[in-house]
Parts: sequence; structure tokens; C-alpha cells
Amino acid sequence: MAQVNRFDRLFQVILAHASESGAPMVSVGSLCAAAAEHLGVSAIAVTAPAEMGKAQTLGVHGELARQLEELQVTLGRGPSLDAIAEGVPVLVADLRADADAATRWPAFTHAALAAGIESLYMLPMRVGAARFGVFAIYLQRIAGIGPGPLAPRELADADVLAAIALDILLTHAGVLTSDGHGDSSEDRRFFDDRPEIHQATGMVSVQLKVDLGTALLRIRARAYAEDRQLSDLAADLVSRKVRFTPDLESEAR
Amino acid sequence: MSRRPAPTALTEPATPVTVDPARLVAVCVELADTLAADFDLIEFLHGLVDRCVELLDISAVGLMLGDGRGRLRVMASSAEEMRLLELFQLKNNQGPCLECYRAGAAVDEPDLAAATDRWPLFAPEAVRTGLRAAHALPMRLRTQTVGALNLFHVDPGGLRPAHTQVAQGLVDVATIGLVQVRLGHRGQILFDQLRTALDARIVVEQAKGILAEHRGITPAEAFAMLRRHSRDNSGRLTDLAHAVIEGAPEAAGVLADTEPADTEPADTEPAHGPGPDRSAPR
Repeated sequence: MAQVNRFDRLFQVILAHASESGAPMVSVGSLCAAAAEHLGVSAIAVTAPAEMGKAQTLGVHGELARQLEELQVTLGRGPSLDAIAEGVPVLVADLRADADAATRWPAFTHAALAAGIESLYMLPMRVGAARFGVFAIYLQRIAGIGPGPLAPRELADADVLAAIALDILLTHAGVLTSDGHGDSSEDRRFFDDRPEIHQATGMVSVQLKVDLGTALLRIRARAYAEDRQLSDLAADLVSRKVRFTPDLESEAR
Repeated sequence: MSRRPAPTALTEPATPVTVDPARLVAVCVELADTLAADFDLIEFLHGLVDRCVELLDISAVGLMLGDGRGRLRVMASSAEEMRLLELFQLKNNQGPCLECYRAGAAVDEPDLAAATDRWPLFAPEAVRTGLRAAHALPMRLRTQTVGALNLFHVDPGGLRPAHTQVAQGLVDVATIGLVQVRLGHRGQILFDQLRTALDARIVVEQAKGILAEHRGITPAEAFAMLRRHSRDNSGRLTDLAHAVIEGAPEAAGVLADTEPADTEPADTEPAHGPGPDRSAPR
């Protein structure tokens, strides 16, 4: 039962946090704040990958998180960049003791340790090879005071929180009303995973000459603008009734 | 569904009432054999579904797995209509597969026509597609329920215990291969096999779209091309899919015009298309 409840449970945590803070909507930023509170950490950021334009912070809790993410972009090396590029989580429970970290990201590791970062967890946000960014969690300890490394259960929660963040990024307008309407919790439990959607993503990425992530966002935006089901638009793209052209107009054949 | 020109989506159960023991043993050995390192989970699950249809007196079967984040995914089904019915359960949040997954116990419904109280949306929809009996079996690994197998029959009361028990046995053998979370070096959690397989499937679909657009062919034709190319070059399909997406040198062969577009029908398309004709042996 734990698996079924984890997603719903954390979804409710996010919604409750937003309505408690009086926010009418859940954004990626407010999700970061809720996640930070839930996990007991001080710094979380969601960063988009460079291939989508310039690497940018889509949501952040704690100025330190923003600085650490931007530092990696400046240096061109860092754990969240690795997580985005390789598509696998980068998890470092003890940054000070981790010889690999010092080798892979020497300047970043030095700066992070100086800022009191002891653990970091970078969770890539992607759909297949379509990359949308990274959910970056930093744990800070000053003078030995602060949270210890994430326990497995907390890491599992972080994993789901990253999935919810991706959900929010992918939904139209990228927001969700804090009473859960607009996209009901039931809808989120149903993950429309039809192959046509992924095939259409590939096709549109070639048509528009963009990366897969941007292609999927464009398809979703078009479906929203035309008030159509995503799967219907995807079917039309696959059967070539619809094409995307680089000037962003889709033509009906 | 009756408008489809394709072969009957549901099998007429012409198999014998008893399960052939020799064939059953052979299938179990085969299943156990495939649970080796590096096996293809998606193909394996499709194989499991095919074996159920082959061995048992059932009309249709669908398999769902939890993705580790609390969401169920349809992984394999005996026909396209079955896949749509499984998706219907998920979308409307009701049905034998969901109940079974949440409870971790088998769910039996001998007559769906009488089950509108139980599943007000799912039961009429199932009956509309021609199915009357349902039996869902949990896929359990130690204390966790990781998924569910949904068996259907066109006759009310048509799912006999002897057959559902065999199905449970096959499912138990299959479940051993699933969901192994490993803590690797440096505490790096590697994705469990299911997530990797789900990922791989999406990557293949994305690569099909890219190849289809480049070559001016259908995704099904693109899939056939990818499969043939990876077989001819003794590579893995998912590796080739990644290469296509990244425009890597390994993909030059499939992407270039030197290879003619395949004009024959695609090889077996896992789960998504109608698949090979599974009606009674002629």
C-alpha cells in the first residue's frame, strides 16, 4: 500500500503547504518550499537544462540553492549538470569524504563545502530522453548543526517530489490551483503514457529542430491552446494530419 | 471494436479444459531461463502475457506494474482493445486490477454484467467489449505488491480455478525478476529494473518518431528498421535508440538514405498495435 499512497500523500502535502501560505496556485517555486519543509532541508532548486535556452532556475527555496546552481553553470562542471546530462541521480551523502566529488567537480566542491553543504542529491527530471531539468537538494550543516544525510525513505519521498515538480512543469500554464483543481489528483494518478505521445515528441523535435524536452512542451502548449486532449493531438501528429513548422504555426494538411 | 478489420481481438478459447503439463513445465523453464542478467523486461512481460493466452482457457489478459511512485502503468496486453480497457481502469480509478493491486490479494468477478454496483463505469465498459468474467492476480515480491495481472473471459464464470492457479504460478516466477533496487558504489541508487525498462520503452518510442520524421515513414516502419539494424549489428535496441536521439555515429546507418525504407509490415509491435493474430489455432 505504501507505494500507492506515497504519491497521493506528498501531493496533498504540496497542496496543503500552498493553501496554508495563502497562495492561490502551486508553482515549481512553492513546491520547492514545501519540499524543503517536508524534507527538513534548507536549499532546493529546480533548474532547466542549458539546451532549452540558457540554464535557468525554474524554482528555488533558499538563496544558497540558487547560488550553487548558478555557480555550476559558470564553472561548466557540477553535480546537477552531471545529473541532467547522464539522466541518473547524483547522490552524495558526505561531500567532505567523497573523493570522487573532489575529482569530478573540484571548484564546486570547494565552494559548496565552504558554504557548509555536507550532502547533496540531484534528481534528474526527464521523460525518456526528453530532459526538463534537475531537482537539486542541498543539505547544509553549520558547526555540526543541521540535518543528517537523507534516509532511504526520505530519498524515496524526494524522488516523488521531483516527479510532481515535473508534472507541474508539464501541465499547461505550469501551475496548479492550490485546492487541487484544474488538474485533479485523480488525473495525476493516471499517467497517459500512450506511445503516440512519445513518437510525436520525436517527430516534432525534428520538425522544429529542437531538443525532445522543448518538443514535448510545444506539443502540450498546442493541445492546451486548442483545448484538445494531448493524445488526440499526438495521434494527428503521428498520422501526419498535423505538422509543426519552425515559425511555430502548426499546419493542418 | 467491431469496426476493426483486424483479427478478433479476443480469443475464442478453443484450448482444452486441462492445462498441458509438459507445455507448462517447458514454459516455466523458459521463464526461469530468461531471468538472467541483462534480460529485456518489457519483452519478458509481453512473453508472459503470450504464454498465459497460449496455455490457459482465457480470452484476454492485461498486465500492470507500479512505477515505484504510486502510479500504475499498463505494461503488456494480449490485444489493443485489452490495453484500452486497462487504461480505462486507470483513468476512471476503478476495476479489478486496481483493487487487486491496492489490496495485494486476488479479485474475482464471475459476472461483470452483474457488477455495476462494484464498478459502475468499468463493468459496463468491459461487458460492452464482450468480456463477462474477470480475475485479477497480485504480483507480489516479499511484502510488496508490485503489480497485477488481469485475466478475462467472454463467458460468465469462465475463469476456472485450475487455470487461475496456473496463472498465479507463472506470475510468481515472473515477479522474481522484478524490482531489484540495488545500492551501488558510493551509495548511488541505481534505478530499479522496472523504471529502467519503462524509460527504455519511452526512449525507443521517441527514437521511432525521430527516425520516422527523418525518413518519411511511419513509426511502425521505423521500429522495424531499428530492430533489424540492431539485430544485424548485434547491438541492443535501446542503445541504438539513444544513438538515433543523440545523432551519434552508430545511428548513421539507420538515419542515412543508404538503407531503403522497409516496405514489409513491421515485426511484432509490443503491446501497442494489434499484434499477431492470437485467435484459435487453425
